[in-house]
Amino acid sequence: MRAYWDVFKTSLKNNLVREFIYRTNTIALTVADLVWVAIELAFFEVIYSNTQAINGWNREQVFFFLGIFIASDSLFTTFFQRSFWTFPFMVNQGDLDVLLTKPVSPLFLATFRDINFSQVLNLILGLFIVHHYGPSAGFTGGWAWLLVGFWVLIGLLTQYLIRFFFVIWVFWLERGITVSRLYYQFYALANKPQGLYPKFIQYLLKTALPFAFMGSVPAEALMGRSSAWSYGLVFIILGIYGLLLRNLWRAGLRRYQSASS
Amino acid sequence: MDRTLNLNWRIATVKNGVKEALAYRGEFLLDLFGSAIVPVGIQLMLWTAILRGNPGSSFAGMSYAELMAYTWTSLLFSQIRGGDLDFSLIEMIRTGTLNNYLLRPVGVLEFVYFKGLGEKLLTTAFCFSLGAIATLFTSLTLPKLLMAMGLALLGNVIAYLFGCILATVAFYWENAFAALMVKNMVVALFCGELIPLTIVPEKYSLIWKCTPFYLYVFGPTQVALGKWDTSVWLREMGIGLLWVAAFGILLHLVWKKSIHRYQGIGG
Repeated sequence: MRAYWDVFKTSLKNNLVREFIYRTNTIALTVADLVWVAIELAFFEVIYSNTQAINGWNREQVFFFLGIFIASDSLFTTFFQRSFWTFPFMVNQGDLDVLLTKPVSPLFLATFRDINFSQVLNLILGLFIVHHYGPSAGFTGGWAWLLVGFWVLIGLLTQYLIRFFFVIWVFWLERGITVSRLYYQFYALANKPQGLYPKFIQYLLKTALPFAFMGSVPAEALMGRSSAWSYGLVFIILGIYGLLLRNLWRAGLRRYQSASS
Repeated sequence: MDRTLNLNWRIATVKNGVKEALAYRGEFLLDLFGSAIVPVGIQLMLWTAILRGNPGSSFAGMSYAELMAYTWTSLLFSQIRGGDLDFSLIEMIRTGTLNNYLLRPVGVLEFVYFKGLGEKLLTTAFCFSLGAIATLFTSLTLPKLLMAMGLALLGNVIAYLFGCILATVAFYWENAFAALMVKNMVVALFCGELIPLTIVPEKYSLIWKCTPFYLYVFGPTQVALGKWDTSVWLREMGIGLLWVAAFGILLHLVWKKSIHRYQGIGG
């Protein structure tokens, strides 16, 4: 574990240095990420300027959901987004070779090597939104803030697993980038509360494509609108996903061939 | 023949673009499916959620049927707009591969556009075919569809020119990725792809009316649905051409100034 911690610290340091070298880019990306939050809020602001509630979700509850979603998404973007984006290229171009020779898990190295600090502000902004809309959305606050931390981490883990599921196919496809990009289309299902979708899609979002664990299920749990079953379901589905991906990763590595070195 | 008027290289470039897109047919279709069907599906579910159980009610003055019609029709045009040619351009500037294009006896910007146009024309043909089929079952007519496609293609040119203007930031910054990301996010909201722009509250409507983005999806959709008649279409085409001229001149100026900063070192 010590080796992993050292690798993580080194990666963190290297990436931080890079962010400071390319300051303009970091600032521009931070602004871009803030604009993204503004667009998300503006979208629902426009919708709720024309209606009071959608399927039992009022404006404050949706904004509370967005706060949770933005917070967990910002963590994922900070630590994993770039690495997952470059992963298909790394496999196609044979750059995975280098990681396979290291004495730590290649998966850890492949997904933890490119950290992006431009989203740190979004984490703060997300938590601020949670704090601001929480009381009117039914969030009790106090000790329940510990649960916010728990659910934000669940959102992070969920996004990691789903994103991984969309890139792993690069071992079997000529150009896995298309499937990887498809993730961003389905991702649009995550930034809206699941209550907006028909029952079948809601079921899908809690099983096969568990995007609901990134914002909807956490928001419902924090607003006291879900049962203990929600917690159980999250662990079962993410456990299955984890096992499936572990096997796919191993199968993918067995299939991986590179003549680049 | 003067190469500025020569059509041969332009046609050849477009043909290459078509061949490139067709080389990976499965992925081309998957990309098209993903970027078209999923967002439309989400919109349809959203409108259904808002108006479900309230037959006869409306949302921002639009009935359920109108919202559905708008969403389905916008699908025909949302894939024609934009593209990621501006992202390719900043990558060329950043990595120095712009060298390869500067050496060619044709304009870089025009060459990149025609290269991407091949795939876009395939998409347009696909969307037009879908629209043509829809004329058999809906109030959509072939002349309206053609007019709307014309406006959508004009929107595509505007989108490219605007993207290129922003891409010149790459000559000054290490990476202009963020600038283009912001542009894409703003465009997604104000082009009418996510929501019909008529539902934007009146006090904010000036924001989208002052940009050319509504010509990408909202405008063509309004034409196809018959909400904009021929006179409005002509006016909007005129406005679109003015945007093309303005962005064309601006791009010419900023590119000419910025290219002097370019350093492509290496082989």
